[in-house]
Amino acid sequence: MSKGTQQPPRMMQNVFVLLLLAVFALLSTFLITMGAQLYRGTVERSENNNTARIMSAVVRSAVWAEDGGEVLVEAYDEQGVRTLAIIDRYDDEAYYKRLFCHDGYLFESYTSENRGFDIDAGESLCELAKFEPRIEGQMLIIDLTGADGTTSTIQVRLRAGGAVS
Amino acid sequence: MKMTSRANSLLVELLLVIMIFMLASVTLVELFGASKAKSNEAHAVNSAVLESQNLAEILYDSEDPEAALKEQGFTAEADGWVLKRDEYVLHVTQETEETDGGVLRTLTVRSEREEDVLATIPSTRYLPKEEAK
Repeated sequence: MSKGTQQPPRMMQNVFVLLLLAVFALLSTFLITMGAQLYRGTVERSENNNTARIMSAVVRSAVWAEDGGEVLVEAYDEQGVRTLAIIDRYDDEAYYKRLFCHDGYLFESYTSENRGFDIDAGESLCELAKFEPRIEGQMLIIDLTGADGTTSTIQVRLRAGGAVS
Repeated sequence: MKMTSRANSLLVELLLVIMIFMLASVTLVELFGASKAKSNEAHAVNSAVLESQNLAEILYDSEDPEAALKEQGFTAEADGWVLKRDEYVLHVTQETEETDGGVLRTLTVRSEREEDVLATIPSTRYLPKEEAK
């Protein structure tokens, strides 16, 4: 008889404890999932910002460092790339600094005129999906697409050397 | 009586655990919120700097900065030109200095976000007398 009167409260107690544990587990999972998503978002955004800044800095400094050099956009259809070439002349020889996108990376190469363009000769700078330079008057405009699909445009006014066709 | 007392102490224990958990959750949510705000701010600074640099180049290239600014969507205000973006505001001011040979034109692009200056980029160009006319 006494067993019969004690059983219902103990059962209720167990159910209550289990219910609280379930709520605790659910809240913990929700918090961890939310935290992980926020962390991933923050890291992704930070990476995008870094890539955009690197791309912009690389292109601008490449053009400004060779201020006085001629700038042109070359199309290499066989390799499927468009390069931004900055030409400088020393002792009657032309040297080409080229920026181009290949294999998901922004590459930079520096070669003399005699060696021509070699797609595998460059050095990778940062991840990049698309690099589309064009020249309008004396304005160099480059449309960039990052590895994650974010797009940005860089505009640089060519100063001393200028654009050549 | 004994059963009621045991049940009460268990309930108090559980409520304490839940309270501690809630306090930890609030702290974590605050931290996540702060990190998201920082990330948004970094994105705004990045966009503002990139746009300011591009604008400075456009203004350097332009013979008629006012027309170029209007084309970019700027509106004329008492202290210069203003363009409001979602995350920041761009201001452009112009200063000219007359010299014997021509005019030294300086257009300053300033980006601001909630009264913080994010970037200030001057674009200076010397216009010889014939060109300045």
